[in-house]
Amino acid sequence: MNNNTNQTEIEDEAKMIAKAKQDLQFFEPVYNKYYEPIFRYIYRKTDNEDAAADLTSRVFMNAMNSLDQFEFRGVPFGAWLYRIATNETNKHYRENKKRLLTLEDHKVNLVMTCSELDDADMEQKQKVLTDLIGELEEEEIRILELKFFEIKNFKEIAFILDKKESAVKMKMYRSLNKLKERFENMNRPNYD
Amino acid sequence: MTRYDIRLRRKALSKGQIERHMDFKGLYPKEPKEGNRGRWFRIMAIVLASLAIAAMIYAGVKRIQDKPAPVQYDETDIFDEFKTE
Repeated sequence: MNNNTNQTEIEDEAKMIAKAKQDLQFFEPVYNKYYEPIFRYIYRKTDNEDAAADLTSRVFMNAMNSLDQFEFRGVPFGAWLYRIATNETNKHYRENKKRLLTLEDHKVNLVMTCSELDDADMEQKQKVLTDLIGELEEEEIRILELKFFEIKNFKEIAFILDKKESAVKMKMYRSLNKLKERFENMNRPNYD
Repeated sequence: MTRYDIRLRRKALSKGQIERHMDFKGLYPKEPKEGNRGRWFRIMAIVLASLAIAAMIYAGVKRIQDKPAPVQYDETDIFDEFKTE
C-alpha cells in the first residue's frame, strides 16, 4: 500500500469490508491483499519467520473478531491492520526491553541516496544508517519506519500510532533535522 | 538513546516464503462469525423468553388476587340440632 491509494480504492475496500461484515468468508480478498505487507512489517520487528507468521495470524484474527467495530475514517483498511500489528508486536516485546528493527539491503539503498553516499558501498551505508537511527527515540524510529520503509502518508501514520497528524509531522521533521545534523557531524574529517 | 537493536544486511524474504504461511481457511473456521440472521434470532429468542416469563409472573399474581375468599363455616356443632329435642 502506498501514498497513491486513492479514494476509489478506499471505496472498493469499504464495499469489501461491508460484505465481510455480513459473512467473514468475504474477508479473504482483504486477507490476500494485506497478508504480505503486514507479515513484512512484523518480520522487520521480530527477525523471526515463525514469530512473524504467528503474530500475523493474530493480527488477522483480531481484525476479523472486531470487524463490526471498524469504520472508515479516510484511511485504507490496511492502516487499521498496521495499528493492530503494532499493538501485537508491542505485546510480543512487553517482556523484552530491547526492541528490534531489521532492514533489508534494498530498504537501506532506498533511503541512503544522498550525493555524499553515492560512492559508498553497502557496508558503509549500513554503518551510517545504524549510527543515525541509533540516536533516535523509539517513537521517532517508528514514525520514520512507517514513512520511509512502509511508505505510509501522515494521515495513515497518525491513525496507526493513534496520534494527531500534526504531532506526527512535527516529530518527523524534528527527527530528520536531528539526522541531518548528525550526518553533517559524521562527514567532518575528525569523525571516528 | 534508543532501545532498538538495529540489524542490517539482511536479504528480504521472498514472496513465496511468505505465502507459505498464508492460511485463511485455517484462520476462518476458528472464529465463526455470527451472521445478522443469527443475531436477530438470538435477540428474538431473548425477547420471547422475557415475554413468557413476564406473562407467567402476571398470571401467578392474577391467580393469587382472584383467589375466592375462604368459605366461612358456621361454628355450629353438628349435633346442636339434636339439642332441642
